[in-house]
Amino acid sequence: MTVIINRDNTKKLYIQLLDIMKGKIENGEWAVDSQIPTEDDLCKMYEVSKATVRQAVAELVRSGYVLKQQGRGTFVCKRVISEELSMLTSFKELMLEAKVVFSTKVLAQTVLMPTDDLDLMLNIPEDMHVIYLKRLRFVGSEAILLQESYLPHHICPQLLQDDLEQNSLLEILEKKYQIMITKVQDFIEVTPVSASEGTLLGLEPGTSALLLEQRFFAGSQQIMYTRSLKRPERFRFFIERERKS
Amino acid sequence: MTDQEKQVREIIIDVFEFPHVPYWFTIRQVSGILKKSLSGGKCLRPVAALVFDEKYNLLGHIEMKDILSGIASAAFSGQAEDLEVISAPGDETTTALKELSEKPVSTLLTPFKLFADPEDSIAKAAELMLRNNLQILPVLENQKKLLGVVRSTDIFEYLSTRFFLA
Repeated sequence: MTVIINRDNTKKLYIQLLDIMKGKIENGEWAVDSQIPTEDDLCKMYEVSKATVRQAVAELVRSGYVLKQQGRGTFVCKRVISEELSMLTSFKELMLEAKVVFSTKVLAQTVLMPTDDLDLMLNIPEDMHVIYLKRLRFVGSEAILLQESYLPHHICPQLLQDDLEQNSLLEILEKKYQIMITKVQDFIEVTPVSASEGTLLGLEPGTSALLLEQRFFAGSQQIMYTRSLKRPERFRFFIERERKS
Repeated sequence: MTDQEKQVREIIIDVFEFPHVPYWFTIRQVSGILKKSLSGGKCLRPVAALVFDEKYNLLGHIEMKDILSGIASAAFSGQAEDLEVISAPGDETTTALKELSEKPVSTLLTPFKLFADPEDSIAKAAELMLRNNLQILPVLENQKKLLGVVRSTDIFEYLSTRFFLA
């Protein structure tokens, strides 16, 4: 059966297209290593604009389903984590909130509108107010981690008044707002720092730093997007996987 | 309660009806946000965004007209004779507009210097806004807590009903 895009659906078109494509990969219709249809073909198949297709494919790349190969096309990836494997890592360890003792300076705790694809990263409408937190984390007197977090304002408006220098954000979310994080997606890459980021982290602009982007979910709802920039020499990640059965 | 005694409290608009931007957002980003609020269907007049600092203190607001005057001064400086400056911009104009687009919103915002109290009469707020040519007036409780804003459109509604249509 061909799944089609429903224009009466309130979901954005690119999200619908994304869901359709994910489905095709998950059910094996689009096999590992095979090339997915070109942008033009997808436009015709689903009667959507090129912009919609680009957005959906970009998101598919970001979530690790496909890989773009310059000049060749876009191919279905082998999934790193198969369904039989579950990730046992306590996310708090990955979150860097538990094991390392940080002191924290809150640089910003304010509200803004999503611009420049933030709505996509947070999966919210572009006219939704967002709480923006910018925290610089220190070990001793040395700034080592710059964290920017974005949350839909309406899920925890009081967060603007909370003390984030003394308390862990994740603990506040769980204990005060009863927002239980059930899933975290991590994207790790190496990226050059901007001039302003470099100043905060004591790095020359353009120096490579480790970028950890995280999407936090409570059930099926995404509740936070965090961008953490770390001085490269400080951290080692530990990930353990175990077969369920 | 007589008409004169109607309070500001009754015409307050929640600040979340307006887009929020921090002062470091660029003119390009704010233009995008205002454009979206225009096409979003629930656009309030004046078309404006509220500008906050990093501690969520309200600094001021930026209206569509502020951006238009920014464009005007970037495009028309010293070129009063030339009327094709926007339809066929020269290198100089293009550069000036590009520079403007990356400037922070703080360069064009209208800072808030005056405030109303929710207990103030609408007439008092109206006078303050008319005297100072304000489109938006923030309302603070106990001179501290931001409750919302009063808009010139609601003041117009109030005054026109009271003086012209009563």
